[in-house]
Amino acid sequence: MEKVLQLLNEMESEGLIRRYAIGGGMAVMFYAEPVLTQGIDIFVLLPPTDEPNIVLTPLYDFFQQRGYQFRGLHLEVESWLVQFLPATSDLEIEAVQEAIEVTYGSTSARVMRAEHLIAIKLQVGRVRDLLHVGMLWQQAKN
Amino acid sequence: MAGFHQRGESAVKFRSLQDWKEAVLKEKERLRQELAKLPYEEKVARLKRMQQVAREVAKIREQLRQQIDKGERRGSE
Repeated sequence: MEKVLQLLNEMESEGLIRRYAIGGGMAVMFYAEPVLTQGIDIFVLLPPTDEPNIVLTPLYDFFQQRGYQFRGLHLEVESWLVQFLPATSDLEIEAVQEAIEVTYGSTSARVMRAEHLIAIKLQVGRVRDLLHVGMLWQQAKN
Repeated sequence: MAGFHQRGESAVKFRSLQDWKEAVLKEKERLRQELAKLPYEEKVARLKRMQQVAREVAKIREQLRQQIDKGERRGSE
C-alpha cells in the first residue's frame, strides 16, 4: 500500500497529475471499520490540456514503465489493484481539492473527507455504496 | 389455564430472545467501534487478510460448482 502512495506522490511531483485523493472503500475504511474492497480508487485532477477527451494514458504508462501490469481495468501494484478516476463533476473536484492529508507508514497521502465520500456514494447508489454510507453515518454519530 | 400458562412461557422466551438479540447488537457495535478506532495501517492489514479469505472462499465455491456440474452431467448420462 505504501508503495502505491509513494508512486502517486511521485506522479504528482512530476506533474502527471495536479492532485489526487483516495476515494471508495479504502477511504471509507479510514473513518470506519475495515471493509472488504478489491481495489484502490484514486480520484485525480489532471493537468490542463487542449485535448477534448480525458486521456489517462500517461498515468498508466508511468506504472507500466516501472514494470506494473494491467489486470482487467486495474493496475496491479504490489498486489493492490489501482484504478484512476478523473474528477470531473464539481463534487468530485471539490472532494479532491479538500481531501485531508494523512500519513501511512512514513508516506504522506490524501484521503477524501467523509462528507464528500457520503455525497459521492449516494450519487453512485449501488448497494455497496449505500452500505458504506451507513457505516460512515454510524461512525459520525459516535 | 394451560393455554394461559403456555402464552406466559412464550412471552418469557420472547423477552429473553429480545434480551439476547440486544446483547448481540450491543456487542457487535462495541466491536465495530473498536475496529473503527484502529490505526489505518492496521485496518489495511486486516483488509489484506479479508481479501485472502475472500479469494479462498471463491476458490472453494468454484470447486463446488464444478463438482455439482460434473454430478449433474453424470446424472443426465
